[in-house]
Amino acid sequence: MSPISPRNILRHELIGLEAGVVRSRNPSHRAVEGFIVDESMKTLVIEQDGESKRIPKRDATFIIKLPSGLVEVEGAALYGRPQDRVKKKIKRRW
Amino acid sequence: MAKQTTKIALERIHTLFQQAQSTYPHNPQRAQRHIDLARKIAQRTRTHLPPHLRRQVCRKCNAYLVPGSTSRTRIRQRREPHVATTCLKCGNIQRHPLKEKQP
Repeated sequence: MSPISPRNILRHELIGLEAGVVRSRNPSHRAVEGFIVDESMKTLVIEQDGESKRIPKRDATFIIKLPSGLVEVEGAALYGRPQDRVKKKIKRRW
Repeated sequence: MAKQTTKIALERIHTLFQQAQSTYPHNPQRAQRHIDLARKIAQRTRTHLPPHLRRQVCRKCNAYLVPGSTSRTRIRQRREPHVATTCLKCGNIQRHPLKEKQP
């Protein structure tokens, strides 16, 4: 198997992971923190204290907790429907 | 490269089914969404759902089958001994023979 790692996070499952928003163009999204419960092409849904927040990927930078540690991911890099991201070719930019 | 895709896909399918199982009691709709995503990933990467997970999804309406809640499981002895799983959403019956296939 290939467990989720910073290497394959762009192609892996985000639902179920703990995440927070570090930077966002929408100031009210900046403090959002919780578990990722759903994903669409352009947004992530994070549940915080029983409340779901839909955050546009493009405008935000996320910090995601993996079993191996924390990773900071630019939301724009996560662009794409969940089932399309599996096959996405990764352009290395970091 | 292609091999890696299959591996990641299977891993994702497994985590999605786990998520569905844990969210089902308090949010069945979200659990269904996880199942739909798992199936989409399988279709997109042309991998099969593993047999034990395939039995948790209704073949006809793709509902997440939870024994006692959205499905009924019975062992039937008539005709050929088999396990019959009824989807309580659409009423479809999935039959799984109990006899091993003869080589």
